[in-house]
Amino acid sequence: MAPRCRRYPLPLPRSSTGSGSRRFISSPVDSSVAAGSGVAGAKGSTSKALNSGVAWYAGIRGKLYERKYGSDFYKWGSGASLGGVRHARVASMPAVGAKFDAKPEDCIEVSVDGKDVTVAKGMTVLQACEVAGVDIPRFCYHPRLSIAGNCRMCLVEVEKTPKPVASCAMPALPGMKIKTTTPLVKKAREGVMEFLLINHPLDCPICDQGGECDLQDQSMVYGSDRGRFIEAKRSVTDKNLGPLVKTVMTRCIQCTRCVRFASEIAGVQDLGVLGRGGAEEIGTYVEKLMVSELSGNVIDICPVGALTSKPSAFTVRSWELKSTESVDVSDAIGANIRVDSRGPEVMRVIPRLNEEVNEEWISDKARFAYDGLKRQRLNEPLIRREGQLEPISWPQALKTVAEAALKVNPDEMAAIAGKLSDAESMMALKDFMNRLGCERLWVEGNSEDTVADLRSNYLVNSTIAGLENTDACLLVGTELRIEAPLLNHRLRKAVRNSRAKVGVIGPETELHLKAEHLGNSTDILASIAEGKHPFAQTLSSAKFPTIIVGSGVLQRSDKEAVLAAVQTIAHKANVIREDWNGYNFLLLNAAQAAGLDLGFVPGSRAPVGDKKSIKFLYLLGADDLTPEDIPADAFVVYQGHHGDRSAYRADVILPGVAYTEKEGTYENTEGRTQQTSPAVPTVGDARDDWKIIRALSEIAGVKLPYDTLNGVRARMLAVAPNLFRVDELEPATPLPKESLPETKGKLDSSPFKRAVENFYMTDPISRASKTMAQCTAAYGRS
Amino acid sequence: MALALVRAAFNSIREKGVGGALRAAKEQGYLAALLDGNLGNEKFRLDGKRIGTDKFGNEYYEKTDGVQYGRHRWVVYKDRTYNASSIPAEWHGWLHHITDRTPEQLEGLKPKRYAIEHSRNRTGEGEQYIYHAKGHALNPNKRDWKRYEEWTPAE
Amino acid sequence: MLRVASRRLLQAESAGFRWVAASRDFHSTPASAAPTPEAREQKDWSAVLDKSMNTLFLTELFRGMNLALKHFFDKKVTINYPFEKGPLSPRFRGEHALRRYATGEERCIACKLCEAVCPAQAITIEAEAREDGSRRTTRYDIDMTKCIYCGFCQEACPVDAIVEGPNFEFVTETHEELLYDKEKLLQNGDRWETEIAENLRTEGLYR
Repeated sequence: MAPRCRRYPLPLPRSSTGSGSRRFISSPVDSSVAAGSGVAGAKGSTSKALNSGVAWYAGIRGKLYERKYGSDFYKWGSGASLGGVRHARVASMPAVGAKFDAKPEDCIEVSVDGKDVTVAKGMTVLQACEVAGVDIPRFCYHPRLSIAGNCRMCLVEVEKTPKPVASCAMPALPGMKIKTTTPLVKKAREGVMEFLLINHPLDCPICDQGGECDLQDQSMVYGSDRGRFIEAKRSVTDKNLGPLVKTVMTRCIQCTRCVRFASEIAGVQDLGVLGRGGAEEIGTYVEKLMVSELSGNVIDICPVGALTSKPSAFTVRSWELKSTESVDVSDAIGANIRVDSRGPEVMRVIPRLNEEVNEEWISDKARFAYDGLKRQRLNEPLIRREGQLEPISWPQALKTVAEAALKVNPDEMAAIAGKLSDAESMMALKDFMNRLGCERLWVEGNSEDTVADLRSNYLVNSTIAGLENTDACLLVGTELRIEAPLLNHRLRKAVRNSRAKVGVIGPETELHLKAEHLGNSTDILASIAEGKHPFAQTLSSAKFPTIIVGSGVLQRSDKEAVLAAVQTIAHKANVIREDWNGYNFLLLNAAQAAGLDLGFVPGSRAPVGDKKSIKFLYLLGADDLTPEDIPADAFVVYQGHHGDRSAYRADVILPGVAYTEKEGTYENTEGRTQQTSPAVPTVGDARDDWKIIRALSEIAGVKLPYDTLNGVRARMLAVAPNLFRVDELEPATPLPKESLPETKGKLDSSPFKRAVENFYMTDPISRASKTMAQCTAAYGRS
Repeated sequence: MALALVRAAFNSIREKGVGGALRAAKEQGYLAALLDGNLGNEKFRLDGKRIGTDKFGNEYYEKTDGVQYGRHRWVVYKDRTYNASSIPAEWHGWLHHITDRTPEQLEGLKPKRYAIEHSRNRTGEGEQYIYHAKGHALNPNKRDWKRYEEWTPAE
Repeated sequence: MLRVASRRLLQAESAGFRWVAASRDFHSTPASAAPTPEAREQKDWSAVLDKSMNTLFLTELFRGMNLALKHFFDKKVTINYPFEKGPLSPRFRGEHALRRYATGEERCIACKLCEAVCPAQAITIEAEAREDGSRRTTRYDIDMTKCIYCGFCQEACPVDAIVEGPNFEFVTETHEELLYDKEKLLQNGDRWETEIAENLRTEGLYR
């Protein structure tokens, strides 16, 4: 274990809720019971039977029950992060202890408030209290950040110590008697709270954090009822951190959570503490913006209203929002989110805890692109007559499309599924196209001639959480920080915690972690494959080596050769083994994995490659095509929710629904199936995507055999059973090198191109978002 | 009180002549007072002390001795078709026995920068007199309650 | 016979028994015996004279009318609305108004406390940052037909922006006129500020 200057808390795994985002939890007691029944451990944790049972129930019976916040994440005292997600925790909730994973010989006995508990060695007093189920108030302590110990709110009394101890920093020693209910502790908490409130402005009515503020909650529970401060309060100038994070530094209580987050989690050393004592200020010192794709997470971390969300400033109070658990589709990670809505509009997006996918973080694009959902929406079917788009009724529109489809030869039809398509609509579209005789289908992000034969060839096989364990990683043709910020965060954890070595072959990119840029040419790849390059040595000598290939290589002409070279490296460096598969193919879009699992790829008889011959093109939200790609006489049908590029070329526009308005199944890049939930009603006359295709099929005479969502899902079960099992990770079996097919083609030495031009604007929703436009202007492309 | 009434009638006849007095009485609303008992009650009540007049012309009277509490302050409206809501804010408190302060004493509280004229409640008088909220059907600037912007192809 | 019966009645009454109709004495003694000719003759001529004079000259009628006439000339206690108004308190809760500071800046800072506390959920608020960066509402509606005039909103407001003024004469003929929006409430405030400020000044310390 590499020596660390900073102390980190022992992880108290909350894996019982990692895959439990779909639990039926109606009361805090139930949630704690559900949490308690989970088994702590590594990936794939919770009992599969329970989960598949729940998923089966959920899938078959639909959303019969109301989803509450789900996990015990939102409670104190059970290892949950207090400031990780803004919430208000009622102090009277029954406290059930946190669980931890340790061998019996590594445990010690302490006593908390007279109750004997067994804790792991190395745990702090605060964690021991959490195991015992006792609430300890805190501001600066966060389970995912290093220990600071500067807020002093966590003071508890330990027998035979002269002073109260900061429980977040004091390691628990065997035989300690910890007391949290004595008058000394009460006085200490009241005193600390009084001191914190001395310079805190009376901003509650205008502060966005009112109603979900840790300071408010803890002062109500642990503070005194009156103040004695009659002098003048100090104030601090506000810092400009960019168009996303609004700062009111007068409210800052100098807990330094944001400073630690920026340096440890985000990898940017932008924030720091200036001054001492009462004159402390947190800021960037120079006039610098906080340029990180994870910068929005400081809003969740900050316990007070010093750092808040700028796009949604002043708009909402937490008590008027309705929360829906859902999944983010801006990239292929599938971060778990909570969509907060008020009436028909989405007001904000907050991360949800999922230990295996995104921990508690989401990228800025996922967090702030929701205002694109309100702009440029397609709300009624349109048809192009004499070059102008006119509104038309649904039966008319579907009839037009069906007639156009039946007029054309099946060889001249094609369908492209867009980035944000869910598995149900892709299933329906594939069935529809196949019944018409067309096999020319592909998902945006894949090349036209993608092959989906081997599942391990297109997934992140080490799993997202498993990437933390790597000690050598080779990135090929990918800008990891821009394509998948949360995967980059896992890599950063590996680099920080175990000094993993990272080598990058591809365009020069800033990963905010210590990486070696090996070059941008395929020659380097070839030399590593032959074993000549020094990095091959690093890979071979590593215990858990990984390779991450970006899906931008699919756009290259020599992609087969590149992938073959990577496979050679993988097998030579023992990357693919019985117990560890480190070969990771990083997908770019949320729809790619499900599409490949469903077989949304060109069939063997499809005439691929000849774009000129397309006479009928069905775009399921696909906007990456430029007008040059589509022949001028093709009949283009666009089914999507935003009027983006393709809508200008389309002959018929059928309005579909966005991901916040539908219950759709998405598979992330590691093979985990997740579902979104409808948070808001859809706009205008838009309909569910699969329903449009089902209606279209009936009018075209090739009626699809399912009428309900469960019917589509039953069909999905037949085609790709893992898409039916929600929240479960279906690992892929790698094939041994001998049974891989022969590769054709040679490597050409053209450099790897960027797969993502602008991190902030990659899909129709983020392109329509004002906040993302502001980010592009402020931060550039990333 | 009746004596004061008779004296006032004689004075007006002496000044204007019988016809003139009758015409003046009609203009001042005494004819309407004969048909409307409430109005008559106040018109023929001549022994109060006039405290003041507001900008609309309503006159405010007070008589504290010998009068039951609650009936000791009253207003005589200028408008024959009187409307209870035409009392401006500065007199409203005095008339409703909320405070003893008359407008001269409340002058300091009157907002100089943003005060607007008092208007009576004109409901029922016609569409153009009432306030049209932003959701009212007759409001020309009726707010669009759609929470999204639909896409229009900008050529 | 009647004397015997009446003596027995008197005895029964003095003994505390109530006279009950259905008893074994029913058939023997008729309950409501009509006055026999002897009883009628016991009245004397002055009584007869009194009675017939009363009937002729409608005495009781004139007595009643005299009472009415007395009340006619009495001082009335009815408050002559709308010229006289009933007494109110400075804490009276009437039509709502949104106040401003003396500079003209609106007081409401969109904290949404009034919306949260309203028991009838009559207040609807939407807020945004104004161009100058301050926190203001874009929509502040009070549905006066839902409102129960409890005054919780004015108690909750930290800046005394929403108040219940002393005006109660805001009746309307249509429903939609009673759905107040922000402009209307601000207008109210501008009109009534003199009196609202006076009431706040006298009562604010004690509320």
